[in-house]
Amino acid sequence: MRTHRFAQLRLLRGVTRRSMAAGIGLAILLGFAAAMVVQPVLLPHGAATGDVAILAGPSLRHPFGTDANGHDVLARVLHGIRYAFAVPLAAVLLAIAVGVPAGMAAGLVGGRTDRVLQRLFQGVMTVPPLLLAPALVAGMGPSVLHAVIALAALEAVVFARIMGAEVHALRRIGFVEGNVAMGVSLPRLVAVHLLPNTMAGLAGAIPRRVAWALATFALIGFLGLGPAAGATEWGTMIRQAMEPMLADRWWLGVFPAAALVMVGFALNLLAAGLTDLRAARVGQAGAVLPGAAG
Amino acid sequence: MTVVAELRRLSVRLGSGATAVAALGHIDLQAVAGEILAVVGESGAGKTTLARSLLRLVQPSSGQVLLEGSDITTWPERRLRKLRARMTMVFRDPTAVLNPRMTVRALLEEPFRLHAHHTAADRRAADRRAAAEELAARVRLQPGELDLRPGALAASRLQLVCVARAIATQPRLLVLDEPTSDLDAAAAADLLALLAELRAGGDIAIVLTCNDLAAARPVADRVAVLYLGEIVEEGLAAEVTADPLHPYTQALMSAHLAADPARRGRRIRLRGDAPTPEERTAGCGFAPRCPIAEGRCRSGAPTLNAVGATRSVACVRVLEGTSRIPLSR
Amino acid sequence: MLLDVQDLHAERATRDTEGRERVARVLNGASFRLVKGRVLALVGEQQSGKSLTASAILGLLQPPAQVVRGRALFEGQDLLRMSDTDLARLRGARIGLVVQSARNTLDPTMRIGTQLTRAQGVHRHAPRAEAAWRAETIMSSMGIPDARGCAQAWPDDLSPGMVQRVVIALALINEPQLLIADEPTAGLDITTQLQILDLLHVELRRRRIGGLIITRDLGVAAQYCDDVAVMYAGQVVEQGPVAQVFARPAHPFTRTLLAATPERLSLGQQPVAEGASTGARAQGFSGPPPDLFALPQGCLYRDRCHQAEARCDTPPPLVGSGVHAARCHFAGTSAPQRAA
Repeated sequence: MRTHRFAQLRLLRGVTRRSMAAGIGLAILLGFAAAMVVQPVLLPHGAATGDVAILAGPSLRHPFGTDANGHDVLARVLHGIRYAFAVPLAAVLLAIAVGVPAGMAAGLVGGRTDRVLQRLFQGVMTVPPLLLAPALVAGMGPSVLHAVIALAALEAVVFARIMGAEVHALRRIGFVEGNVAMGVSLPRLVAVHLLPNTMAGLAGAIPRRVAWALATFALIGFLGLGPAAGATEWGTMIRQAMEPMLADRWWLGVFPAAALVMVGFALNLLAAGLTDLRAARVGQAGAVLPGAAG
Repeated sequence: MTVVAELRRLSVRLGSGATAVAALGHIDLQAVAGEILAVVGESGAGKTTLARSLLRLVQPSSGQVLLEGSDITTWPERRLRKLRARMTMVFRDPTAVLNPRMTVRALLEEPFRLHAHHTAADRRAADRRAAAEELAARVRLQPGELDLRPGALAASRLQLVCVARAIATQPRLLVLDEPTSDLDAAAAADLLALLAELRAGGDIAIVLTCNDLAAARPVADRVAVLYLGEIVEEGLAAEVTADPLHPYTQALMSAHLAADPARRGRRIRLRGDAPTPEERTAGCGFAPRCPIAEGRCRSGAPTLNAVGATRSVACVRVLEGTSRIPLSR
Repeated sequence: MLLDVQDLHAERATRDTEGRERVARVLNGASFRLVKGRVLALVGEQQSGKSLTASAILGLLQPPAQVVRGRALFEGQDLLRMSDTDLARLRGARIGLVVQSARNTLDPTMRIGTQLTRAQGVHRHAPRAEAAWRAETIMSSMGIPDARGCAQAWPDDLSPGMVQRVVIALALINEPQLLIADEPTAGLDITTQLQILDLLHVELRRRRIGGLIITRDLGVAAQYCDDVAVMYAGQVVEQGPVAQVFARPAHPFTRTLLAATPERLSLGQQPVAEGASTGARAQGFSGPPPDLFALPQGCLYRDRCHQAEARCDTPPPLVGSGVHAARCHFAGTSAPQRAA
């Protein structure tokens, strides 16, 4: 445990030296991660504690107050971090697994197929995703799994587009042709030449996409399409807080919302800082190809 | 005379649908072992398309591409890949084709890794490493440059890396597309000297594209002059540069700026800019800019005719002996 | 004396991959003189400091690059000690500049005619009709066939040759006394290059102004310029009238550059003699470019020079008669010509 934390601290210091924004964002996220790990030990949620106060406002004993079942809201919010981390990450990882190969294939095949696919991607992206995502989940049936799938599907399109653009840029400068002329096989072209040189562009997009997935997942929960009603997912908690009878119990909704904002903010800081980090690395190993995006 | 690669009546259209243009039209060309062929033309002439056609990096719309006797015109890429050790290419911009994340050493080892079955170098890493170092020495790269990445090297050094990669597998055909256009004069001279060394070996056919005919003279054996996708003159380099027959060839020789102030003389001055394939007119492609064009030049396109044993020219006035342009001050 | 550059030194500070600060010495004593009515060619390889010299003189060096020593006297005034406002008044008016990659100087959202009239308006009071007329006149004199039509055109519509003519027009429209052209024909076809250089030559002669042409091509220097200054590693290593420098090059680098030109290069069919070791083979014309972070002591060319000796680790003196001089210990002695 100790070495674990030191490693994280060292990473933090290295990042902050190059970009203050990224450092702060990363620090906040690490803080949430630590809280998630620590919560079951320090503030178990759901356990009956005997002296149970229902719908009590924030106090020293319950900094975020308690809810209708007498559960500590702080404990619930901290417990909910696992949803906030796991679901968007899973969605984005799944999206990358599907979208990157699709975008790469479209970019390499080129010609009409590529143009058609790009139009398709564009089309999907013009529909407001905040409408499309909940609609998809509703269609499949409300559940966390379906939410992940819906989010992943929409995010995959974004990654496919990014990848397609990167491959296009590399083709335009003759990088792909130069390697083909050398006799590089397709697997090697992708693994050794294309992926390493497009990763930068992709990696830069990841924090923002995770932030988007988080916000949309919260919306899905808020609409009641996410996990079951009692879950500690923040969107769902906000939904519960909106019941007319609980209207003046502000702490039920505000704290989950604040947590959402904090994580989203941290992710966006990280995204902004990544461009600084990349700028610091140009000219070294990770030099950029002329004219290529990223 | 061993013909290593050949283009027969080759035409290439680039683009698709309504915007397609004829980049090359009815090209007949042979690349012979032990010989350097210079294909000269300005922008829009089709030099790069011709170079790519020799390596089947483009799909021709008609005609044939042959390599060592085999007709590779319609071969799919996976079949062509086996031939890539025998026909290689050096592109104009070395910074665009070299993977910036690989060291020069890794870049030099790559052809050995890809074509292990073909070259003498074993699959063993140590042999590859030795082969790469030998290659670097051959093109006169310094040992210290081997562990750098492309971003740390100047363009002329990177072009040497590209040439090294292209000769690693001892190809029969080496095509270079404007390899010296972006290099300094000294580096360009070294590259040409290297090509002369390769030619001396006798096995390799070298095709070089460039935009300055007189600059190719030191190293070329034969020359083909390209204008708007067609060959307008072809012959031995020494003869074509000494006595250019086609009006365009004459203009090209005249436009070369000699690094000799004593040779400031009269020149042929063309009007307008080099046309793009879209701007092609009927008849002779060069007629709009030709100082000696006549009415008949715009009605019928001239064909490439033999003039003497070693020359071919596509100009109606050449056959009549009236194609020499008077020089103006 | 129109432009007298004396011992210009400039540096550029960068941070390397470990965060350490390193200083590149990009100009190391560039000196040359330009007389009104004559054209000087500044030749050298890529990264030799030719363009940097022009930027430095005109006060266009961006941090982290900066001039650390030297003077640049234009019409008697030191440009390096002028205020930014005074310099801005000179640039575009008394000194015209044609930069590399000319297309980037044109504003893609503004018509050509407007850009030409604006360029005038910055430096003088020009009523619209008069400015427009001047614009059209200068475009015609640049050989632009339809000046009126061109004035209405957008930069993207023009061919590279036309763009170059427009950019030259922009540089000349305010009647400068000195025109600096940085690689004015780079990237152009050789037939177009001829047109543009003819144009420059005619304009410079007609206006009787001074011209500084920066180029990598010795042919441009030989055919269109009166004097030539050869640069290596940010230093002028030889300067003189074109006829003299080409006929009797005094510096080994100049000799190498000349030997590399197609007129002198001979690579016949004879096979290269295989020496017993690599040392026996000819050394070649080029080599790795000078490391501006770690230049050698003494002569900056010594690492690539075939004649380098012990005394080359002291800075070489400027040797030569008034007009033709070279910075080399061996200049003035008849040094053997390098075997090609």
